[in-house]
Amino acid sequence: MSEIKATDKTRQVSLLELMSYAEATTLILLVCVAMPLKYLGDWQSGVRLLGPVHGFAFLVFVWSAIEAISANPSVWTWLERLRLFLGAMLPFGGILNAPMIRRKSRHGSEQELTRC
Amino acid sequence: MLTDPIELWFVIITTLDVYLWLKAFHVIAVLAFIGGLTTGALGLATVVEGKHSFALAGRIRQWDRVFTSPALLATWGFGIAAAASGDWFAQGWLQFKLVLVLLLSAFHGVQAGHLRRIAEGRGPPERTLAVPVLLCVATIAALAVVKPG
Repeated sequence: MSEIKATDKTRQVSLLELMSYAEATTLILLVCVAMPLKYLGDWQSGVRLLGPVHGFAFLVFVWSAIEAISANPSVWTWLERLRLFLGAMLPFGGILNAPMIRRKSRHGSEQELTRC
Repeated sequence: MLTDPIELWFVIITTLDVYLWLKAFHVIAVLAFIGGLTTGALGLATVVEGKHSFALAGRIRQWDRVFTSPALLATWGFGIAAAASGDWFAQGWLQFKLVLVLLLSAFHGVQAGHLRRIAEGRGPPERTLAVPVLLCVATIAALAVVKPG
C-alpha cells in the first residue's frame, strides 16, 4: 500500500516537472522565435499558433503546481512557491526551476515512505 | 496564393465554420467539469465536517482523475481553440473571463491537492472552497453570455 502511495506521489510531481519544461519551451519559442519573426520579418502565423499553445501549457503548469503545493504544503517554502510561479513567467525560468521540482519530488516521496 | 501552412490552417478552420463546433465541445466540457467540481466540493465538505468517512474522499478523487481533470483539460483546449479561431482574445470581457478561468482552475487544483492529501493519510484540510467556486462559475457564465465591452 505504501508503495502505491509513494509511486502515485512521484507521478504527480513528475507531471509538474514535465509541465515546467513544456511551459518553458513554448515560452522560449514564443518570445525568442515567433515574436522576432512577427516584428522583424512580418510573419504573424508563428505568434498566432504558439500563443494559444503556450497559454494551454501555462494553464496546465499552474494547475499542476497548485495541486502539488496543496497536497503537501510543508514541503514547499513561500520563497520556493514564489520562485515556481515567477519562473513560469520568464523565459528559461521553468528550465531553471526543474531541478528544484525534481528535488521536491524525491523529498516528498521519501517523506511519504517514512510516514507509511 | 497562401504558402504559409499555419495561415492556410486558420483559413480552412474559418471556411469550414469550425468555431461553432469548438464552442459546442467547449460548453460540453464546461458542463462536465463544473458538475465534477461542485460534486467534489460538496463531497469534500462532508468529509471535512466529519459526516462521512475518508473512503468517500478516495472515491471522489478517483472520479476527479478520470472525469473532472480531463474535462478541465478539454475545457481549456476547446476554449482556447474557439477563442483563437474567432479572434476573441483582444476583447476585454474575454481577458477578464480568462483571469476567472485561471482562478477556477486554481480552485480545482487546490481541491485535487486536498483529495490527494486525504488519500495519502495527512488528514483533511481545514476548509473547502465551495462558495468561491460557485461565485466564479456564475461570473464566468454571465460574462460568456452578455460579453460586456
